[in-house]
Amino acid sequence: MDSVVLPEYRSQGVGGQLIEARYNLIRKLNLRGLAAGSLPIDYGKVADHMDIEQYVQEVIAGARFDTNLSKQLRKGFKVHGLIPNYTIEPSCRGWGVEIVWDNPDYRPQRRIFPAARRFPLTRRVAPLVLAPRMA
Amino acid sequence: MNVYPSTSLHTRPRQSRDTNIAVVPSSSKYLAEMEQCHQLAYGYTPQTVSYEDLTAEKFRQHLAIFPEGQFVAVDRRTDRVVGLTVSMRANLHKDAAINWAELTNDG
Repeated sequence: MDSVVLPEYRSQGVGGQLIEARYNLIRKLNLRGLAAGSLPIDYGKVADHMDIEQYVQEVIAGARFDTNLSKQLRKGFKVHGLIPNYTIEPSCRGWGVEIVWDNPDYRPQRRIFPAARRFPLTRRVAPLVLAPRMA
Repeated sequence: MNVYPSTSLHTRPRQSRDTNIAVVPSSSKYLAEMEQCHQLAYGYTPQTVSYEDLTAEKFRQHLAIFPEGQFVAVDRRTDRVVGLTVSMRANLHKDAAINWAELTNDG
């Protein structure tokens, strides 16, 4: 939902450490991943001559550095889309970027009854047939 | 014979360059500091607070609903909250068009 670091503690890996804590939690809980709205906070500097799509494309390609979004992409997030009217933060001109991290360790199905699989039907013991008594 | 180089690829890299910063699970004792941290990070004051901004009361609710998902970064030297992250857990459907304010009840 939100991640912040005090200005004087930025660019020291604190934000990355916070993201790692969330990744570890997601792995532990076996969740699909992490979806977030990213603020492209340097877009305002070039917004007069560039639309947001082009800006984000360039950030993805590595041709442009965004102080916020670029760091998140480096941490493994992927851009899934753009969100208009996302924020009142003036430096983003209202735009948010939908970013998603897919948990590589996610297991879609958990065995609810592991014992049931240990004894498949094909290995069921044949019914006992009594041999006729010899005279 | 040791086939791995001394700096093994399997060694987990240190997460932060500044080892004085520790990320720990959030708790109610940090609420006031978290509010202050959020204000300083976004550059607003209690007078200019908007619906988007996170307050101690909202942090308290996050802790009550999903305590595992809340973390703070603490400077060990001063025990000061220097960063924070809050998470919510949801079943996301691709087709469900829902905005941030609706999904989070205004944060």
